[in-house]
Amino acid sequence: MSLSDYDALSARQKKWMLYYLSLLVVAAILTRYHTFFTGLTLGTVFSFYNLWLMHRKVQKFGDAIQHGEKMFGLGTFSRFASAVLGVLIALELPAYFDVFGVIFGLLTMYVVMIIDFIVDTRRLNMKEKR
Amino acid sequence: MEALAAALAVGLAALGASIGNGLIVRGTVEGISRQPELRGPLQTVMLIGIALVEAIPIFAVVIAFMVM
Repeated sequence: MSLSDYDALSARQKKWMLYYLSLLVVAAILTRYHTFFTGLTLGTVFSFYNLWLMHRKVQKFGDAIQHGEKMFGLGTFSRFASAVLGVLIALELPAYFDVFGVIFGLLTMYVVMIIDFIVDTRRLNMKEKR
Repeated sequence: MEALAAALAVGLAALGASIGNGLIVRGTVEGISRQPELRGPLQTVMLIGIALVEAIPIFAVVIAFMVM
C-alpha cells in the first residue's frame, strides 16, 4: 500500500458517507419518520465532517513527520466540539431533530471505516492468493 | 451532582483517549522515521486507531452534555 492508496481509502470512505447521506435525505423526505431521519441526517453530517477533518489531520501529520516539521494536535477538540454542536442543535430543536437519531448518526463514521477496512483487507487477501 | 458526573465522565474518557492516542502517534512516528516508504499503511492504521480510540470520549462528551 502506497501513499496514493491512503488517498484512495480517504476518497472511498467519503464516497460511502455521501451515498449514505443521500439515502438518508430520501428517507427523511419520503417516510413518515421525518424527525428521526432528519436527526440521523444531522448526526451523519457532523460525522462526515469529523471523518474529513481526521483524514486531513492525519495527512498533515504524515507530511510533518516526513519533512521534520512540528505539528500541534490532531484536531481532537474540534471533533468533540462538532459532536456536541450536533447534539446541542437537536436538544434546542426537538420538533425537527430527534436526539437519538443524532447520536446514531454520529456513529456512522466508525461503521463506515470498519466495514471499509474489512472489505479492503479481504480484497487484498484475495488478490494475494491469485 | 450532575455537573460532577459529567466532569468525571469527560475527564476519565479524555484521559484514556489521550493515553491511547499518544501510544498510536508514538508508534506511527517511529514507524515513519524508520521506514518512510511505509507511510501510507502506517497512516491508514493510525487513522483507524485514532477513530476507534476517540469514539468513546466523543460519546462521553455527548452523554455528559445531555446529563447536564
